[in-house]
Amino acid sequence: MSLRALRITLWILVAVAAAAAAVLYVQRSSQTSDETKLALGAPFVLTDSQGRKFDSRSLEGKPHAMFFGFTHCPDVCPNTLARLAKLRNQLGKGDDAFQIVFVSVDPERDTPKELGKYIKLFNTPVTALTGTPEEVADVTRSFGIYSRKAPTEGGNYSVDHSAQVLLFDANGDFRGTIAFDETDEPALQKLRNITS
Amino acid sequence: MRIPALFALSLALAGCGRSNPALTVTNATVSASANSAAIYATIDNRGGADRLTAIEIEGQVPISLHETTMTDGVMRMRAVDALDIPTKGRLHLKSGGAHGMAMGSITADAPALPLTFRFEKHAPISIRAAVKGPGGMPIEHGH
Repeated sequence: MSLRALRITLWILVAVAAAAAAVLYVQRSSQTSDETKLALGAPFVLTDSQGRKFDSRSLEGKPHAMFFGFTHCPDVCPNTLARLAKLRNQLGKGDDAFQIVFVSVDPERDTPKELGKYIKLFNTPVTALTGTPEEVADVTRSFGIYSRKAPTEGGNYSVDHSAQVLLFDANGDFRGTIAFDETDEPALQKLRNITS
Repeated sequence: MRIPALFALSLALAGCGRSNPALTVTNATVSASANSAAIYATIDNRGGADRLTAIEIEGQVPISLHETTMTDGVMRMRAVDALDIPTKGRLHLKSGGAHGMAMGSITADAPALPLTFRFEKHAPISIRAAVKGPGGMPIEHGH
């Protein structure tokens, strides 16, 4: 190899290294910007109230409000879902404005059939999901949801659990929460934010 | 004369705590969900302190008294033996606080159900409670 050919080869190598560095830099910086959008939760597959597999990828492109609860919960859970239904009406953009997703933290008792009976109460489309205890535990963990069984009288149990509603926009970005004791007006504004 | 009068007054005030409770129950609601129901009501007291010890719905599943607490966004619900009704005060059974919980589904074949509230001192109070869906939504009866 002549000296000239060696020099050209070395310059080509320098160019390739520079291009690779540039690609790596762009990839890393785009990852950083994703992180600042507060990604929450990992993709999951659970079972819906009709017994069909539900893949979280079907939520892509759809704003959604996620709530974790259980059907034997008499107070906070049904009132939270009823409020989401009411706020979605007040938003005036129809039932497709955002999807209401209910994930059971009591998979032993909440079979798909129980979930079907439960969501009928709300007279509005609600996606209700359950799974094996392991599947549900993976989902609650990845969404930062606390849940623990609490024994009650007669061998029954309640489930202590995080009661915030998690809000996601159409890009799947986490945009905040609605707390149980929050008044309707700020809650409605947050729903406007994910649906605009 | 002044000192005995004051003494009598303070005795009367101290006695307030031991006077008989005078209770009324209003706004009783059965909030029926699929596998349970919550019972809400306002219990006002014009007399001395008392405690709510039980709520019953004739011919239906047992009801236990519960307290919901919300700490750092985590909801916890615990059974309690009784709930305090303060002197000349109010016990508000409401969502996110103390309430009655039916241990199973309520058969709601009527828009109202007879409820009995039992107390430590006061005579039981029976009242008709409106049966509603979650969040106070109307429900279809007879299902």
